[in-house]
Amino acid sequence: MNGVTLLLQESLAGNRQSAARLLPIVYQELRQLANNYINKEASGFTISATALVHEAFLRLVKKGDGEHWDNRGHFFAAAAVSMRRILVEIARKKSTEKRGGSLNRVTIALESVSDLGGSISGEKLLQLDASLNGLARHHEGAAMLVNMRFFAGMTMEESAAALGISKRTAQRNWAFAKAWLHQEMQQQ
Amino acid sequence: MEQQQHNVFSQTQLREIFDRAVEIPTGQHRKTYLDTACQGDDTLRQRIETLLIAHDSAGSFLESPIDPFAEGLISKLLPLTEAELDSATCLGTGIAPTEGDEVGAYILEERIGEGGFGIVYSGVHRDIKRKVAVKLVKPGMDTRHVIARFNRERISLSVMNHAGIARIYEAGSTEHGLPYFIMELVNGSSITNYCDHHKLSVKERIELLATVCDAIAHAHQKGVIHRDLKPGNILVEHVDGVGVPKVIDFGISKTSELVCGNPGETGSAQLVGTPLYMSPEQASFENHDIDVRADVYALGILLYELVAGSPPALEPGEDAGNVGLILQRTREGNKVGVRQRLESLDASTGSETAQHRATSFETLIHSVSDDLESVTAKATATDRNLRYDSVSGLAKDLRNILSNTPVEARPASLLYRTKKFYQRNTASVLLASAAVVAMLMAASFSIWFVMRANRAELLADAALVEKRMAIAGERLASAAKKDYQEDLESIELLLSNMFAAVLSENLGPNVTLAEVLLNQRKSIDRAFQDNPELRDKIGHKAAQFFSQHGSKDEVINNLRVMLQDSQRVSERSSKEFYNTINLKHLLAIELLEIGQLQEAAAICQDVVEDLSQDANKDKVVLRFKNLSLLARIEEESGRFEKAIEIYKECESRATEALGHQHLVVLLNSKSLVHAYLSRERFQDAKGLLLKVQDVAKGAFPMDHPVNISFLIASSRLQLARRDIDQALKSAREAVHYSSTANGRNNTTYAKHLRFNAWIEQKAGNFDAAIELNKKCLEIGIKSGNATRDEILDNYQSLANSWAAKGEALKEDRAQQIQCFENALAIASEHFPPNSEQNIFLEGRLAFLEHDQDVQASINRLEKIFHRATVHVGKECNGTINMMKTLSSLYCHEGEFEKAEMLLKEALELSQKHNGDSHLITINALAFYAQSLSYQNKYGKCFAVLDQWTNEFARNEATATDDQKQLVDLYQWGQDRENELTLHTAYGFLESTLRQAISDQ
Repeated sequence: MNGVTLLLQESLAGNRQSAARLLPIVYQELRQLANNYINKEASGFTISATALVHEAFLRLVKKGDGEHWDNRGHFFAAAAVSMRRILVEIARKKSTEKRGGSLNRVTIALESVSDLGGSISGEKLLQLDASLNGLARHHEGAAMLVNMRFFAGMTMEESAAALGISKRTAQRNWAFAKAWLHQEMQQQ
Repeated sequence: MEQQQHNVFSQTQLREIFDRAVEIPTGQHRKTYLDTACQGDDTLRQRIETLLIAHDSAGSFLESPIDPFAEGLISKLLPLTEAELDSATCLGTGIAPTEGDEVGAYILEERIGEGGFGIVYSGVHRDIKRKVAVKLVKPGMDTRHVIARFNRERISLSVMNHAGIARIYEAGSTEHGLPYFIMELVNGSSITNYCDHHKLSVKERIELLATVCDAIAHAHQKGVIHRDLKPGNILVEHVDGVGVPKVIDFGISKTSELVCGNPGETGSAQLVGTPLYMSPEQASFENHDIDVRADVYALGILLYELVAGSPPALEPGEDAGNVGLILQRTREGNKVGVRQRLESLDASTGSETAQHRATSFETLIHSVSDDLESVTAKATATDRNLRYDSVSGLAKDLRNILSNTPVEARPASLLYRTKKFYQRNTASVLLASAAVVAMLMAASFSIWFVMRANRAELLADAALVEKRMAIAGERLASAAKKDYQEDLESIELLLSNMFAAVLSENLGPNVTLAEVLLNQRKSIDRAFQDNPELRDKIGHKAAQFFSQHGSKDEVINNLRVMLQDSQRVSERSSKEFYNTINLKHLLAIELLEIGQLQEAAAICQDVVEDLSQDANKDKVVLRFKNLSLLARIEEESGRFEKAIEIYKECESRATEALGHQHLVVLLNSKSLVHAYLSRERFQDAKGLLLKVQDVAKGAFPMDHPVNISFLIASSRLQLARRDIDQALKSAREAVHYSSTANGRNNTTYAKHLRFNAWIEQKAGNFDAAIELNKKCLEIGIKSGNATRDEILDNYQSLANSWAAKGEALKEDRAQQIQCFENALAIASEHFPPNSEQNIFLEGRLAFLEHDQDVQASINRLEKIFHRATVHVGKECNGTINMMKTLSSLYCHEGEFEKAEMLLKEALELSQKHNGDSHLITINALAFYAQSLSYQNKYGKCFAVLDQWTNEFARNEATATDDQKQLVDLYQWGQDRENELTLHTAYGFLESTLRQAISDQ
């Protein structure tokens, strides 16, 4: 049984420290994977967030006997957070390198925010990230759900299962998060 | 009254009301509900209404997940989004969609396949008319097991991208939660039927199978093992007269099994695969460790069948229903050869088989070459170790058959012999003592390097290889001491084994030693399975080697692999080995060096905890090494106080356990001294240095790293105390010892040189500093093992030296600007435009512009400052200093309030970032006081100046004589409440501040 499997099992058993230790490992792995794919730019290869997350899972939980549905939740929670951080990191870097930073912000705010999804500009991603942080301060569950659905591409059911909440609760959280973030982003 | 109480509403309340309101349709009902729920709390009501509006207008906002590569990083080819569940609309009242129903954006057309768990429909997109295959879980079969299996397939497909593998377009669940996925529709027939129907010749069949191998090789690369390759899962489409194979049904593919739950959990071990094509290891039920060689086997069986007309486990004309018998034959593995099978056919079956291959029975039998026979035999070997170890190996040999190139399957004499040799000598390996193993590893490494250069030659000429091996043997014999004579055979054995690995095809032409060793670790495992301690020692030796060779990435990857290995061995023997822990330690060091601090810290913590109870001397040493490392990681992470705390803890406990002369203790003290210096805690640094430096000198030679490091610490301390001559002396001494210890082409030496450059720079020897930095760069680039970060650091130092020279040339503005421009040229070539290096250098140049035009200088600096806050962040000394520079220009223009605000912020930032007694904080205090005094805010100004004097007193080491004098003067003036003196002091303060600006 390798380290990640063990951490997953410990997390499942309620060990918060293990859950916390999982994050950097998953983050690292995802980052490396994302990098690998970025390097494949020339070959025109592309991969969805979901596939990336699953690939990370494959790589990290190669052997051992930790392959139960249930403890994947902790993994995906960590993966979703990691995915978000990586993308935000890339966006931040790109805005740093390319555009001379926030001087461009004004023009971007004029765009409609309703179509956010799929392809998203770096600036908007940074705005979303900031708004999500605000949301997380008061409504952690709702923010976590956005991480999982938007950043890790998980379905409502998968996210609900991973977060250990009912689908109904997940839907409510989703409606609230959408409203909150949409409102925040319209303001910016 | 009530309204006031509710002014600050709770988020929980907000959430509760929102959740309910959102479900009530807009209009009077919602309004009425809100009236009651908000109980007149207008703020709450307003907030909820805003959110409701946002909710109703959100549309598809956030609904499709982010595409990580859409942002211009990678062009978008294959959108792999999870389909929205809600979009699936089942028209029927039943749960399962059927013909005519919609699944996702597709309308089901006809049922084209059905298996035990899934149904496949053909489908068409409701708008764009794309034809697809829709795979659904059979209703009633949606158990956890089946859904897991289903998901496995979906995930396997989504990580692969190959023309020979059916593509997946999207996946999701129907309204009723029935999972489905949409994939490429393959209009083809099974590979065997296709070949027979189109009367493909044996050659054409081999060619087609090679293409299938390419697709499977891609899957393997992606970590997916099919495990159920059979004719029905390899469909061939007839496109423009050519057969295009597509592999389908990754439902029981292997690696992804781990993603989705273990099929075995539903009961005892299950039969996975199709008996006729199942590898012996799958058929044995015991071996759960199925690898790519299972697919190699199935493809081999397919090759057999494509040529001979039936798979080997089935007698011609026999019914495939007797699963038990087929499995038994598979396990026993007594297959008849392809030719023999053909010969055994009766005349009518024979000629039918031949007809399907566009030839006569007689010719068909003769067309089975020895090469084809041995390739088939190798692919379908019962012992998987004897099979091709990759599908690409098989593909290559298939093509070798077609081009009449020698096949790998026929044992090359050398490989064959070394294998035999290895088998003969396994026992003597087990007897070899650890010392011999260590020695032979070391010797092998050196010989390896001799061999590697000529590998191409070696491959071409087997005789030369044998000659080389003889030479290698002789070298080893002379390297080995007489005592080990009897073990020479085992040394030779390991060598031959290594060379055999090198010469095997699948490692590619640029194979490194690391790869060979990693490749060999399974056989090493096997050879040492009865002696895990010895296995561990080999691992330890290899780890030492690996941590010193290769690029950082390679080193880290190798360490990770070895760590996994070691953990596996240790689990198997239920013993915790020193090497496992040591590998963790080495890995943490490497991770620290590349800045992956979180993981490094996690590993370190792990080790410290693991070892906390262990009294074994080696392990105690390792524990303290790790504790000290942990402190260093904390330091790198910016948690200085925590780091110092851990260093101190390590110091006292390690001294107690190991004595004050122990290297671990001294190295920890060294780190602590440097940590004190970074925090400008000079008294602490001095005290500790006095205590330990002599101990180190007594215990270790002067060119030992610990002594060199103490010299550098001394130099830093002397510099801080403005004893520049001594600082220079220490730095040069350190460089001298480093050159004898490391040589002049070594990156460690380069680091010391760079330190020396810095001290030269501080001493005002700018040209010397520039030269030294150039030399460092040269060493770093030449050596090839400096990390990118190290090289960049070097460039930064060089740019810094130019900038420092620029600062010093106050009298000659033109030359000063030239220096800064040199620095900026270097920085902009090697760092991104908004990196701190560039921003701060641009800031300096903008500031210098104030000679010409203060307002222009301010405008430019403001813009740059803005960039700094966005890209570098405010909690950075460069930004803080820029705030001071900018404020001095504001003061120049009489904008004192602006200056005051900026300085107040700078001060707070520096206090937070650097601590209260840091020179930058102290300077910020002075600047702040100055801006206050300009506005005649004397009360506040005095308070700040009091603070300033206090902090100076605490950090006296950093104060220049001028500054000390100034403090005295100020106190003198204040004591006498002498306004004139105070003014003089302010004037003096002002000029000192100017000095301070350029010092930074």
